Amino acid sequence: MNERFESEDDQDVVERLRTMREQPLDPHAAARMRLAVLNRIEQGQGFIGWFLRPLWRPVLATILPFATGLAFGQSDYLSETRMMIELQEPIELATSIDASHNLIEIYFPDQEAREDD
Amino acid sequence: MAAVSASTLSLVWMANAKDDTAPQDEALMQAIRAGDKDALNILMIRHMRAIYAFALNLTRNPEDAEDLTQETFVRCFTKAHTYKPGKVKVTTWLHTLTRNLAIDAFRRRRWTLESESEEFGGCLDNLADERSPDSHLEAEDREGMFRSCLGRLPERQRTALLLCYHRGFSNRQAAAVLGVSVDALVSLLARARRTLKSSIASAESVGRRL
Repeated sequence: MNERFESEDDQDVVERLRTMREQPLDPHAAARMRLAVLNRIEQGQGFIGWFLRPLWRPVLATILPFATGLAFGQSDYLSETRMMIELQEPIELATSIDASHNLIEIYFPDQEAREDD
Repeated sequence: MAAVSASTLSLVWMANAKDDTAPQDEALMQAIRAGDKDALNILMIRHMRAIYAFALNLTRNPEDAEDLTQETFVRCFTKAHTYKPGKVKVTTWLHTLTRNLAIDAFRRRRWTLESESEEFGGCLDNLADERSPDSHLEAEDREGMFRSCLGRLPERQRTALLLCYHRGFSNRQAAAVLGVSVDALVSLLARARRTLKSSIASAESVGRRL
């Protein structure tokens, strides 16, 4: 039943595997790990713990931004396209935001002067 | 499992008792399924060392092995209802959990297989050894090379060798951990031994040339 059909050549490898040393588990580390496991289980059993179970995390991460947007009556926020723009000079004033068209109009302080040029 | 509720000392005693008073692993699993944390504690005292050693062999990193061991026992508690008593031994089931978690973690984090010798060399520094410094170094080199070759085997072959020869599992137990038939395990073992031998042979020939 437990036949493994080892040849003579295999004996060295088998013996080395059998006698391979292993890092002993320090009793303090073992106690610490046991405590950590019990703490995790303790936390996982409460309502908050249940709600924050790994299974729920991606669901929460998806729902929360939408829920926040809806709660504050800013549903346009959901369709907003977010961009990172590196500016050459500081902006002093953003005069108009058109959320329905995902547009933001920015005036630079010296824009009119530049247009005149 | 009302009798299990006791101080840590008595838990340790219960975990290590060799007579009939020691709760069997299956009974502990039943209690764990009912939410008994003392039963889990006894199971951890009994099996943590073996699970940690197995995890260390799989990950070759003490921190990862600790994480994996903890996760195994958390999973043992939360998934206790999936354990089928009588079908597999509790040890086998725990090793299966560890292996599955290691595979998941490996996919997420891509543990490097090549960094093994340095990391494991460090782990082995603490081992007490009576040998002379020269023979110690030579043996360390030899063992480091052997571990490195073992670490380069495909995961299934490595796990099969470790379970059957290092951990002393029966073919049936090892096959259950790997999720294969006993026949498939026997041929996996033969393939693993062959690959390991040729890997060691080429490592030794390179060593001789240097």
